[in-house]
Order: sequence, then structure tokens, then C-alpha cells
Amino acid sequence: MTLALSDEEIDLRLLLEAIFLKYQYDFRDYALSSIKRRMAQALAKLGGETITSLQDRVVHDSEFFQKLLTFLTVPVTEMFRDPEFFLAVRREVLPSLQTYPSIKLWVAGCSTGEEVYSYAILLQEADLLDSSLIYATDIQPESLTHAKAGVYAREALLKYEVSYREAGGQKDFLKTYFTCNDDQAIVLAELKKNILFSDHSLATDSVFAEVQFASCRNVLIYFNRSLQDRALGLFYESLSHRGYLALGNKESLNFSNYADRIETINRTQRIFRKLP
Amino acid sequence: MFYLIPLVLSFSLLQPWLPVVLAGLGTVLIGVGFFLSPSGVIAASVVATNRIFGVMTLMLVAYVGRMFIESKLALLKEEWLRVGQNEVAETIRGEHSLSRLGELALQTLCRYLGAEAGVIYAVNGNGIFKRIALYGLSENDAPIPQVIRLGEGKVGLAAQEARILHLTNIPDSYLRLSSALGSAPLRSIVIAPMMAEAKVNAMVEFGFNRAIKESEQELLKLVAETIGITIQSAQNRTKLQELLEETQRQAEELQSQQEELKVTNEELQEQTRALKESQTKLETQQSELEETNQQLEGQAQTLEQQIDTVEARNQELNLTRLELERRARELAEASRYKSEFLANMSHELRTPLNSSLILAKLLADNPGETLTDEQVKFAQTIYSSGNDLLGLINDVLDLSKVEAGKLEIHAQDFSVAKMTQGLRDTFTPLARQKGVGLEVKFAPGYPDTLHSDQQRVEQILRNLLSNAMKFTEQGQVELKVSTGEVSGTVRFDVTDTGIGIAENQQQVIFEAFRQADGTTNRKYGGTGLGLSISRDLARLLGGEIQLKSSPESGSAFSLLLPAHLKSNPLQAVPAQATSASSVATQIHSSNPQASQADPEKIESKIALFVPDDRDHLTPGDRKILVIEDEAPFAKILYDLCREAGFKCLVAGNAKEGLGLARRLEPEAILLDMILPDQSGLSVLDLLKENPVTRHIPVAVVSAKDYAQTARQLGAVQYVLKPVKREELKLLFSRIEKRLKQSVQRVLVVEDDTVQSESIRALLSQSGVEIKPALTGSSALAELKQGSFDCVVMDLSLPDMSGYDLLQKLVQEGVSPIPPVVIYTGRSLTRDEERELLKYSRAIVIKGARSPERLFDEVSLFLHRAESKMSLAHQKMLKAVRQRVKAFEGKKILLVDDDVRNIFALSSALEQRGAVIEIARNGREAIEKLERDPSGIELVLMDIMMPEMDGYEAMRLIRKQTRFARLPIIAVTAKAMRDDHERCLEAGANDYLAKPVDIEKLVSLIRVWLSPLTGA
Amino acid sequence: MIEPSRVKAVVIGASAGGVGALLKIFQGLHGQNFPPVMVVLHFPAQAAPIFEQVFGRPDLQVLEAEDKAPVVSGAIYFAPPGYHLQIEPDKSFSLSVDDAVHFARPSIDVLFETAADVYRDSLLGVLLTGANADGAQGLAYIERLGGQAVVQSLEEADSIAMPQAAISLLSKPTQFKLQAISELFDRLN
Repeated sequence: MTLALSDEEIDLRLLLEAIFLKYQYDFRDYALSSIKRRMAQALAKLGGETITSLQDRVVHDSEFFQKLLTFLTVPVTEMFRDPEFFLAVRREVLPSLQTYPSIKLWVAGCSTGEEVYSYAILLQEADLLDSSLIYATDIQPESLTHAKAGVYAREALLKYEVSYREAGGQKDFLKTYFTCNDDQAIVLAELKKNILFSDHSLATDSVFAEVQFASCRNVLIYFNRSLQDRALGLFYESLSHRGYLALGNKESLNFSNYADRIETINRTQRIFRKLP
Repeated sequence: MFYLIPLVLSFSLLQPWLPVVLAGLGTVLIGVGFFLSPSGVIAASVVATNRIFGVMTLMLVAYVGRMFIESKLALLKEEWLRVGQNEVAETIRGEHSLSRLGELALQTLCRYLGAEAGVIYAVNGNGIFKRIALYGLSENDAPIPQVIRLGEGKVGLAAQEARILHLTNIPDSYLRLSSALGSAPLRSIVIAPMMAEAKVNAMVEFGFNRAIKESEQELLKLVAETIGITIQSAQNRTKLQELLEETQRQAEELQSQQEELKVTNEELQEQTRALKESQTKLETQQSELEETNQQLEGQAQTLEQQIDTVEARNQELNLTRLELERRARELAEASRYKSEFLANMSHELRTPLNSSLILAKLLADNPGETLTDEQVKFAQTIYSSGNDLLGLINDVLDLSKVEAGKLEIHAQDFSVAKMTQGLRDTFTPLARQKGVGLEVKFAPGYPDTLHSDQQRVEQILRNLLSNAMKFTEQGQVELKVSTGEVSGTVRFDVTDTGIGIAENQQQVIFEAFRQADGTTNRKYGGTGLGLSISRDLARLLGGEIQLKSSPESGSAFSLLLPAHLKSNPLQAVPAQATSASSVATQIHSSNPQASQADPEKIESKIALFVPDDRDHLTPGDRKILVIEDEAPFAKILYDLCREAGFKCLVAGNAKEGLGLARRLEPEAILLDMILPDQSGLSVLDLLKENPVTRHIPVAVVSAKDYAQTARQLGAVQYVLKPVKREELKLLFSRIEKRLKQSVQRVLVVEDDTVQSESIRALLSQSGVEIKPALTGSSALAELKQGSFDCVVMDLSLPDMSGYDLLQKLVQEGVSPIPPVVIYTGRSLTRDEERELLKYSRAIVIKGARSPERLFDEVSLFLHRAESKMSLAHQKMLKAVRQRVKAFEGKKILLVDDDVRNIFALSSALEQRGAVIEIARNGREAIEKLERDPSGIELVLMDIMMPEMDGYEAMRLIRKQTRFARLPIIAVTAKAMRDDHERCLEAGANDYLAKPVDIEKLVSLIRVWLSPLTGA
Repeated sequence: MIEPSRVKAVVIGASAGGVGALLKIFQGLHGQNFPPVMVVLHFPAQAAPIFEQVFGRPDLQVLEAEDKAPVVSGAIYFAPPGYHLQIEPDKSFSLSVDDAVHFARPSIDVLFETAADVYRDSLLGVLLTGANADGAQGLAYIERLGGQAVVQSLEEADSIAMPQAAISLLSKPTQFKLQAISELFDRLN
């Protein structure tokens, strides 16, 4: 069944094709509406009238592509976003992970790192961090650099502290996990040491390790069904026996091919487990 | 006095010391002149006095001049300073941005002061100065710091102490002044703070190619305040602007949130209202329900009455049914008696009739000429009527014989051509008489010799031909002989151009004692038995009769027969018409009347069908029951069964099969779906219903249609017909396996009895046999003696550690080593974990959630078919079977931190003879290489690893010349061309993308290990 | 004039005062055959969504729109709190956590624009009471692409800022009272 494509869609797809051919970033299976809106924003900010003009500049100017890339990738995150989710992980998932001598986690779409460090803190407080290895992956090299540095604005951290408490945290957030100066704070080295940041694309790359916990929150909503299935396939293959999968709180397996192979542990917080 | 002139003139030079010097000089000259001048008219003392006055005048003038010059200079300086200040003030007036401000101030000052270069910093937060403008320099000339802290460097120092610094003796490393034609060093530098209200707001630094005057420094002091204040106000302005924007944004956000809250409020209100409504609804429903309840009760009573009535009816029906069954039995008996009677009667009937016929013939022949013509005619009539009667009796007897199952078939070779010739001879006169054509045709390739009962074949054809003749008034009748569609069959087609047969009559005519319509008999003669006899005969001969006809357009009767009839004392059954393909192969056993008579007799008859082992069973034999009606196939199954080491029982029909299953309880059953007396599905159903046979695994052999239903009813396997021998063998081996696995055994090695008991309680939920062992040595003994499907092992045992036990198992060759779940209370170090991972992938640390996990892991092992054996054991087995050892003795370093990958790759490579070294990350890889530089022949390097990733590791390895030619294959999860190039650039010789295709990997390694390309 | 026969999908936006307005116009909908109706109601992100309880009826199906679910007739879909709701070209829903538009997420503009791109002249856009600027541009966009646009009558609306902003941007603004909208919906069944 072929859908009649509007001219706009054709332009967008050509742009994404050009990006793939030239830079090997594969956005071709992303949900089109978000791409469209973001490209409209890019046109407004970077100048230009048409999508075709973007395509032209992208192919001939790699610096321009770097700028365009920031519009295409998932927006900034917060630490302990959706605190009830982290609370559920603390209560329902971590005790199970404690039965392993060592564990691996995969946080896909880690952006600027806030989510990864949230997990690291949770693991630390459950005494699991020393025997863990966290793979944190994203396609935006700039975000990865930022995440590796672990430097955040102090103001923002004050907000995160509130979420941290709602997620069951009881320590002095800033003092225990950060070094601060007047306006910035940096994550302590002991939290960073078991995190491996790496470039990895859910659209083109393969499974690279076996993990007991995979987290990919509010990324799948930007994929179309076929790419969502590919990504879920990667997570499924990566998960060890009875491994856990965590998605964003409006994401589900209902419209994927994996609904019968993965069971729901906590429906509200979208925590799942691979079926034997 | 002429000395005054130069003196006065010298004032214009504005050098304060000049007049004094000149005056001094003048004095000297006057003095000299005095002593040198000749004595003359004027007295010496007057001259002296004159000169002295002259000198004094000079001095005076010089002094005055000096004062004059000094004040002039001062004025000029004042002027200069004032102009300078004004200029600066003018230029920076207005509301400029901070950087513009800096530019302007710098420009003005540099020009005014004649500086070669300048830079200005403005304060930005506590103790930090940020650069805001440059003069005479560009970014590219030299790195000029963007930010300077208080106290940092000369500028910082000056800022801290809030004073002007003047530097001479500039080292050459400083910024040089350069133009297109050349460059020169700076001579002096001045750094000045710009202050407002005693706070340093900005710092300026100028570079000169000459020394600096004090006035210039003073100017800087004077403008300091102006610039400082202006900068401050510029900064304040910016801050204000920012705050304003922020406030505005927050106001909008607040408004939006307020709206949202309003909406929530509304929703809540609405909800309350809705709740109240539903409350009322509920109450109404409540009363409605009560009413309904009462109604229902009334109805219930009525229903009960009805049930009683129905039950009574049921009883009636049951009785009626029993009665009917009895009558049916009686009827069948009667019918059988009748047939038997008739069959036996043949002799009785034919004998007197025969005599009459002979005598009649004798009379008709009238040898002695003794009878009149009329009397001869009477005799002929008696003869012909007698013949007809004989024919009729023959027909009736034939039919009943067939039905009683007493007709015998004698098969011999005979010639088709001869037979058809005979038929032609018989019918030609009749055809000629009727004026109807008679043709006999032969299709090319028809079988000339048939092995069958010629008499009966002729009988059928005769019947068909005579019918054709009977019902055709004009046109022709044709007999055509050809090979049938199915190989090994022959086809006789009798076509006519007669009255034809209506479709609704086509079934009827085959039924005994019925004709197309009652009148046919009268018009066309005959008893109407012919076709039903023909049909039965055709079946006996292993064939069938087909009909194609329509009214007014003639008929075509076709007789299909196997060309070679297998002689067999069995008898035909009137079954439904089947397709041509079944003709060639099927012989059905038993018939309904006979089977009711005597099951034992039938069994023994069918036992001849395919000889089996039912009489040769000993207790403890493993037996398989085959329920299959096709004798040849049943025989094949029997043979395979014996080959596989089982005794085999064969049943040719459902009833027998069920009987045998119940009596002898075989280990497995092979069931055909199509059986003569019952459908295979119903047999399956009955087997599963009966508690005695329920547990026996059933494999179904049949056509695809039944697969789904069969599975649902509980069949464990099904095989599609036609079946290959290999498939059947596989089936048997699966049955074998399954039998072995019917009981699952788990060994629990744990010295604490309480713990052991709780594990037993946990695992027995799944219907599994648990055996406890309290020590390592008793566990070892158990494993040597019996086979287990899984072992749960604690690490701390009284006589040895769990690890030691595992090693002993391998050393002492216990085989197969079952999968092991390690269940331990203490946390493990990385090294310990790694050692244990050689034997077990499932390590469970005791804790709150460990019972669940333990249960999960054990279940996994018990139910997963492939991983029945531990990996170590699997590896051993595979190694034994693998004959081609492509990498015999080659040492390969595998660098990867993922256990799963390591297992997969190392087992694949080890079974091909390679010796594997493992490193968990880049750093370890380098260590291993350094420890054994010439031993390792190839490296497989994963990319994504902690501590040191693959790229870095490869780069470092390549730095050492001794490893320059070491083959390194990168294994990467990344798929894009760029990433592969990255691998190659970092030093890989080649790469392989995940998921790793073992065959590809092997061939790739082979390439790189071969003597021509390798290290 | 609004032509109900053209309508293959309906999008509605509302803010302060929207609950009452929506209840009123939903009275015109029932059964399973009306074209799909998609609603953005401004709502705080952390609040539990109670759309079904408030707006659902035994003869009316009300759901929270799910990511990647197909858009189906006979149902009213609400945007989940904290996410933008978009329509994909293959007529399925997609969600997004991109920045708020006019401080709103879900934003009415986002729904209206993506729906207009898909349904074009067979779309009906309805903008109800609200004190925010969100939705005006979206409705104008719907009109520009050939769809039909209705704004709640200013006399009746609780907060007029939203409908007012829309009216100023539309070339042919049509103001309906809630009763009229309900009747219009009735003709869509």
C-alpha cells in the first residue's frame, strides 16, 4: 500500500537521504512530523526559505551540517526526570540486579548525560555501582563530549535535587555527588569511572554487549514503527535472560512486534522484562 | 650682550635647562673674553664690572627664561592633558555597547598617546577581567588572553594594587610590532587600571616603541575615572536589559501555568458532578436489580420444571435409541443371513434350472423331427425364458455373494486385445441388428497384458456394453482402451450416443434393485442389477467405475483398473468413490458386517497384514505402536522402528490400534490420520481422554490439514506425507530423546540442610525430582552414577570449594556435565567471577530476590532443548567431531569484555583447533601481548570496551615495531563506512561487523593467518 | 457555511474554561461512526489524566492518544499531558517532548498544523475558550490548507483571548455558540 506523498514529504525525505549518503547519519526512518517541525525551526534560525536549500547546504558545507544536527537530535534532558520512574527502578529492579555478581546497563540516547548520572547515583546508593558497567550511547558527538565532562549549571542542580528526593534519595545531593563553584558543578570522578560513553546509532549499528538492563526513554517516539522495531530488536538481543527494559512513560510495545516476547512489570512506569 | 640673543632665542625651544646652560656658557665666554681682551681705553675694573653685570644679566635672563619655559611647559602639559581627557570623554559618550565602548576608548587613547598597540579588559564577576577590545592587533598576531584573573600576571597585579605599571626592558618574547616590511620589539609597556568609585572596572595595556612620558601616565590616571564609570554604566545597562527580559518571560510562563491549573480545577469539578450523577444512577439501578432478581427467581423455578421434563424426555430417547440399535443389529444380521442364504442357494437354484434348459434345448433342436413347428417354438420359448431366468438368478446371486464377501478373484495374465476382440464378436450382431455402430479403439501406449481376473473384467465390460446398446437407438457405441492417468492403471471407456442419464439419477442407477425410473425395466428389459454388480466387481479388482452423462447427449462409463492386481484373499468393501490416485495403492481392510462379528478374528486376519512383535514382548521392552492402514508404509515404519531399537506393534485400523494402546501401553504412538473405520483425530481424542493412554506421546503422520487440530488435541509431532526416510529416522530419534527426558532431575549441592530444603521446596513446584548432596564428594559420586538435567551448587562446601568440584568434574571426565547454576552467599571478585564463568553462565548471589532468579535460571535449563549440556561439555563434543582443524595450534588473542561474545567466538575457534587467550579490555590486551610477543599470531579486537577502547589499543600496539605486522581484526558493532575506515586507520588489518557470522570470521582469520599475509 | 460531508477528521483546542465547553459539544457525538476527533486540552504535566472518567460515556469512546496508534473513527482522542500530539502522514499518532510552544506542551498549534498537513481540506478545526495565544496560528494554517475552521463565539466563551487571536488571523472567521457546534457534530455521525 503506497501513500501519496506530498511535495513537502518528498523534500524532507530527499534531505534525509542526502544526510545519510554524505554523513551516514540515518534519520530516514524517523517520524516525519517531528523532523518537519525541527527543520522549520532550523530554517528560521539558520536562514533559508526551503527544505531544498537546506539539502543543498548540507551536502556542500559540513560545518553547516554540524549546526543542523543539533536541531535533529533529541532535546535537553534533566536528572531524575519523572521521579516516580526512578523510584520504581530503585524498588523493583535493583533488588533483582543485586543477585548478579556483576551487571551491565545500556542507556541509549543518553544526550548530555543527565539520565546516565541519575542511574549511576541510584546504583551507588544500592551499593551496585562498583560491580556495574554502564554503556551510554548517542549519535551526537557534541552531546557525548558534554556528557563525559559532566558539568552542569548549579541553578539546574537545585531543581534536580527536588526530583532526586522524590525519587527516594536521602543524601545531601550537591555535596555528595558534585564539586561546585559559584555557578557550575561537576560530577565526581567516582560516579563517572564505570561509565563508557560511545557513539552508537540505533538506526544502523548492531548489538555490542549483553546487558541486564537497557534504558531508552523518549527516543522511540521519534522513530517510525519500522525503526522502533529495529531498536527494540537490538535491545531484545542485548538483554540477558530475564533482562529489564525501560521506556519513556508514554511509550509502549503495543504497536511493535515484540509485545509477545516481553512482559510488563510496571505498566505506569513502563518497565518491562524479557520473557524466557 | 650678543649672548642675550641666542639666550632669548633658546626660550622657544622650551627646554628649561637650555637658558641656564647658555647663560653659563655665556658667563664663561665673557670671563674668557675679559682675560683675553687687550687692555685699552676703558679701565680694567670698568670692563670687569661691565662683564660682571653682563654675566648677572645673563643669569637673570636665563633664570627668568627658565621659569618662563617651565611655566609654559606646564601650561602645555595641562592643555595636552585637558584636550586628551576631553577627547576621551567625547568619544565614549553615548550609550554604546561594552565592546564598542572599549574600542572607542582604546582607539582614542592609542592615537593620542601614540601607542603602537593596546588592549582593554572589563571586569566580569569577582576578580575576573574579560577582554573587550584590541587595537593595532588582530587575533592572529599572538594569543592575547581572553580572561585575566586578579593577581594573574602583570595586568592582574596592576588591577589588584590599583596602580599604573610601567615596564621597560621588555623581553624579546613579548609581542613584536610588525608591519609588512619587518618587525621590531616593544620598548615599553604601560598598564593602567580604570576605576570608578575606587573599584577597578577595567584594565588597559599599551605597547610603545619608545619610552613613556610621565604626562602620559598622568593622562591615564585622569581618564581612569571617566572610562571606569562609563564602562560600569554600560555593564549596568546590559544587566538591566537581561533582567527585564527574564521577568517578562516568567510572567508569561506563570500565566500559562495558571491556565492549566484552571483547567484541572474545572475537570475536578466536573468529575465531582459526574460522580454525584452516577451515585443517583446506582441507586436507581439498585432497585431495578431487586425487581429483576425476583423475576429471575420466578424464571428459575420454571426452568427447573422444564429441566425435569427434558430429563424425562431424554430417558425416553435413550430407550428408543437402544431399541433402534437393537433393530439395526437385527436388520444387519438378517441381511447377512439373507446374503449367505442366497449364496448358498446358488447351487440349489441353478441345478434344476440347468436341467430344464438342457431339456428345452433338446426339444427345440427337434432331432427326431417329432414335434410340430408350433411345439418347437414352444420349446424355444421355454429355453429362452429359462436363459433369462438363469441370467437373473446369476445376477442376484453374484450381488449377494459380493455383499456377503464370498466372491473370489483369480488373477492371471491375459491379453487385452484378445478380450476386446471377444467382446466385439459378441456384440457386433446385436449392433448390426439395431443399426448402431460399434467401434473398438486403442490409444497409443495402452497396456496389452493385464494381470487381473479376466472373467470379471469381461463381465463388467459386457454389462457396460449391453447397457450402452440397450439405451442407444441411433449413432454409435465405442469402447476405448488406454493407459490410466495414474501409472500402472488401464482405462476402458464405453461411450454411447443414447438417451443419457440425468444427474440426479446418476447415483441411483448404481444402487441395486433400482433403475433410473421404474419404467426403464419395462422398456429396456434387464433386472437393473448389472451396474451395482459391476461397481462392486470393479472394486474387488482394485478399481472403480466413473460416469459422465447428461440427458439426450449420451453417456460415458469408464472402468479404471490397476494393470497388475496384487493377489490377496481380502475382499472389497462398498466405500465412497475416491479419486483416481487412490486406486493404485489402497486396499482397505475389513468390512462393517464382518468386523462386528468377531474382533479377534479380524485382528488375527490383519496381523497378517504386517507382521509385528505383539507376541514377542518381554517386560521392560520399549515399544512403539504404529496405527497405519497402508500396508507398505506400515512395513517401512516397522523396519525403522526396529532399527531404532524399539519393538513395534502394527495396527491397520483405529479399533485395533486403540485396543493395543490400552492393553500394552507403548512408549509412543505413530498415528495416521486417515483410517478405514474412524478418523485419526477421533483416535487421538480418545487416546488423550483415557487416563491409561493419556501420557503416551503421539506423532501424527498425515496431510497438512490436520496439523493444527492435531497439535491442539495433544499430538507432539506431525510428519507430512509423502515422508522421506530421513524424516522418519529423525522422528524416532526425537521420540528416543523425549523418552529419556520424561523425568527431570536436579542435583542440589548445599551443605546447610535448611538451605537445601528451601531450595527443594522452591524447585519442586515445577514437577521435578530433586536430589540433595551435602558434600562435594557425594555430589561427584551422584553425578558419576546417574544423569541430571541441572545442578544447583553452593560455592562453600565442607570438603572442597565449589570451584574445585567443577574442576574435578572436568578432570575425571564426568560426561555429560549438566548445566550448573551457582548459588552463593558471598560477593565475588572480578577474577573469581571470570573463573567461574568458564563453567556456568548463571551465577546467583543470595539475597532478597534470589529465589525468583534461581527458579528462573533452573527452569531455563530444564526446558531449553539446545543447552542441555554445559558449554564445556558441548565444546568437548564438538571438538571431537570436528575433523578439519584449520587453526591447529594457532594462538589467537580475543579482546572483548562481553562474556557472551567471548563464549561464542572462543568455542567456534577452539573447535577448529585454535588456542585462545582472552583479554577483557585494551589495556589487558597490551599486557598479554607484551608477555608473549611472538606467541600470539592474530588478535580479534572488539571496539567498545571500558578502560581502553579498541581504537586506542590498536594505535598503541602499532606504535611498537615488533607488532607492526601482527594481524589485527577489529570487531565492531558499527555499520557505517566511516567507522570501518576508522578501524583501519587505527591500525586494524581488517574488520568484521556484528552480528558476527562465524563462517565469515573463520575465512577472514584463515586469510590473515596464512603464511603469505600473516605476521 | 460549514459542510459536514467534507469532514474526515476533527481537531479541537481548548484551555481555561474548556471542560464545560467540551462536555457541551460532545453531546452531539455518539456511536462509532463519527470521524476521529482529536483534542488538545491544556493540562499540567504531572497531573494524572482523567479524560476518560470526565468525558467518557457508555455510548462514547474517549481515549488518551497513544504513540504509533492508528487514528480510528468513532473515538475521541486526548493528547497526554506533557507531550505534543502529532499526526503522521500514514494517519497514526506520534508524540514528542520538544520544547513547549507558547509555553504549552501539548500545544494546540502543533496538533492543528500536523493534522492539516495530513487531512488538508477534509479537516475541521475548532478553537474554544482560552487565555493563551496557542492555537490561533494553527487554526489559520488549517484554513490556509483548505480545511474548515470554527471558533467559539466571543459572547459565550469564558476566556476570549484564544478565540480572539484566532479571529484576527482567519480570513473568514466563523463563530459558533457551543450549541451550534454540538449540532454540527451531530451531523457528522
